[in-house]
Amino acid sequence: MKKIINTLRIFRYLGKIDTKDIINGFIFGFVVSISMSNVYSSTSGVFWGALIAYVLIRSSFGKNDSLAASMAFGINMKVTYSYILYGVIGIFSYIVFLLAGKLFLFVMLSLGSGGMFDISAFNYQNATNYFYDILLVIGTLYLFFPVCFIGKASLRWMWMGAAALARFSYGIITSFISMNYGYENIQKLEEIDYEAFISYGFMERMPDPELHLAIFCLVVALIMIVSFKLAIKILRNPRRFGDNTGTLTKIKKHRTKIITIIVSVVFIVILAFGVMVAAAVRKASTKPEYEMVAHSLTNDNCYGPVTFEGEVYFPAEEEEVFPEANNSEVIGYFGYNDEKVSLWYVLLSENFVYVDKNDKSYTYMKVRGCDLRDYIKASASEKKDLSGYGGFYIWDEDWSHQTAYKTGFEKAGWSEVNRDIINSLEERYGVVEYKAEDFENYEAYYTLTAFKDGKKAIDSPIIEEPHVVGCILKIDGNYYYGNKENLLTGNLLEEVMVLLESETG
Amino acid sequence: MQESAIVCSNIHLVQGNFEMENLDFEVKKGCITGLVGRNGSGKTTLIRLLAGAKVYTSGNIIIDGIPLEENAVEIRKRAVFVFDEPNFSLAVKPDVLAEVMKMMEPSFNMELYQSKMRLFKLDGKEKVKNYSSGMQKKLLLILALARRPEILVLDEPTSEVDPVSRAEMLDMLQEFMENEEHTVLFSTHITSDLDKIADYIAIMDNGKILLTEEKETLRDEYCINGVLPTVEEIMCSILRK
Repeated sequence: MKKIINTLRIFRYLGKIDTKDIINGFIFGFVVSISMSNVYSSTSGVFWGALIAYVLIRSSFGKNDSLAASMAFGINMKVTYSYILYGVIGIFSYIVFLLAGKLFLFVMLSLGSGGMFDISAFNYQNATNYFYDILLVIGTLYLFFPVCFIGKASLRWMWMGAAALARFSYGIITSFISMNYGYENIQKLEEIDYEAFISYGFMERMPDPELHLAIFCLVVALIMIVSFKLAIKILRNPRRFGDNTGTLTKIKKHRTKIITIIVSVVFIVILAFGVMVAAAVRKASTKPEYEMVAHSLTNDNCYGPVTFEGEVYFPAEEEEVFPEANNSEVIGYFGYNDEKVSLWYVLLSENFVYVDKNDKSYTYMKVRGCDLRDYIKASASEKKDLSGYGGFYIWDEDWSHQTAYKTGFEKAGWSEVNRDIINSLEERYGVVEYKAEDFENYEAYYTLTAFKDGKKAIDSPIIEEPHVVGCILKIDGNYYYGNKENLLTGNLLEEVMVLLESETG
Repeated sequence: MQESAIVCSNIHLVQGNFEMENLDFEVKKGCITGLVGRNGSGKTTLIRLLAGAKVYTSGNIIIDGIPLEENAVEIRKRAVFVFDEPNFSLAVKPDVLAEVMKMMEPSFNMELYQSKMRLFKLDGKEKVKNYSSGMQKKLLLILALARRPEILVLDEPTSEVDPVSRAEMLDMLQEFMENEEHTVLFSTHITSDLDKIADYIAIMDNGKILLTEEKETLRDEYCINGVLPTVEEIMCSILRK
């Protein structure tokens, strides 16, 4: 234990941390964390870990004039100690910040703000995905390890640029591959609550994920070995890599060349990225999956209806989805409010529509991608017996957005509906025939839902899938039940108006 | 012929406006060599080159028969370099630092360290940042001697040190030199220290070593009317030419 403490003291005390070290540490941490995140996710733990590790190593063994560097301590030992410290700090801070982020989510969910995030605290239920993520963190971290020993600023920048480029290239290639493979097995999608793009998309979508994981492990091991060897080589060649070389004239001479190379490489990478993405989007837009076959009919993306194959569908309760997991097929994509295939759609949403191969009437339909939603044809939903449901509620169109800004678990934009009103509506209008064209020019929209446990549905932070009983449309100042033929009048209209005026939130 | 502990040949270095060109320098083994020169003449740069803290463009440095570029670790077992200011965190306590140094170099003499700390009345449990600059200089010398080097290179070790402590530090260097295999090179502006203990004087100016000569030889050479000059007078004579 004492040896561990004294080892940590080498990095803390046997060198002088100056402002330049801290500034370079910030730059280093930033480049590493950006490379790690592949641009579109946050990995602040890696930033702080990389910054701290860099500053400690650089100020001690990384500098020629520190006390640590002047000790009769072999180069192999210096690199070994630094190597271990670097990995431990980097991974430890990554995990700490990851857990802190999860804890934050739990706290936010507990305070009722979970609706704003609409994700659960853990990304995966498959341990392999976590293992892949850790390997990715380790591999990326150690790509940058030799930078801690490079004194020459120009070489340091070149190395960081090259490592970031390598990491970005890997991310682009895996994204490209995973975009083209599509979903192999819809059952696996149901095992997670929130898709993490790289790990799930790359590891789960490609065939033989175990083989790819094995290859990836070998690549990471290779990176770790090479970075160790390179660090030793750097320390053994202070004239080539060290600071205070006294060759400023040489650096000035090559500065223009170095900058030109770096700018050219960055430009080529951006261009290549743009071309790849454009090609991917173009290819995507010609695939059958990228024909829009379903879209939402209202602004209520949780309980509101959608249209598919000319029919109206409502959100389905869980037990009503496809009985056989392997019988699904993709037949197109889903767009909220008619959103089209674009660069952002392909990168961020990519909501595909799945149907049961064995059911040509398409009783059920699933949306999988950024969102996970199950739908049932309105005509099938109408046939449900309501005797098993304990709570009935009416929701306005904006309830989910309003709920996101409330504190506590309570949801906004709802009113409790007396079962008598539901029965009256059912008796007067019977089985409603829903038409997509009725939703084209409405002024207001409300969903009537049924929950098995109504109180739990309102008080729980989780958005439960209800059975949709029906809906109210306001068109040209009149109120309709389900379609334009079912005009609400008389006492029933008065009772419904009381409900609409008394809505919570 | 006396062996050389340190040999620099044809050292070339450019650093901003300062240039060290074709510098040749030798430090005799078993002797104390004092390095003097004007401010900005390159004394500190030379010492840092010897320590490997700076890298020269071309040339050779051989310390105790070992080329610096071939085996710096082996050199560090035999030679200790002390800069003009601490090259470690001032937030550390000397006792902690000594413990860590002992872990890195098992030959570190903890008894010597403790006895010298008592001699200079330095509190090993007080952080270095709370020491005065003179106390820090003493600590640097103590830590260097505790590492049991054969060659000791110091950059202005007695500057900002009170006269009593300075005398004690010079006594420590002479005690160190009781072993004939030991060598000391130190740069200084306090030429009276060289008068007391130096065997050789090296004068540096504009990145060049003007001369390296035995102190007594120099005194005889610059003697005026039978009066032996001090190192300061010799230095001024040479540099004003």
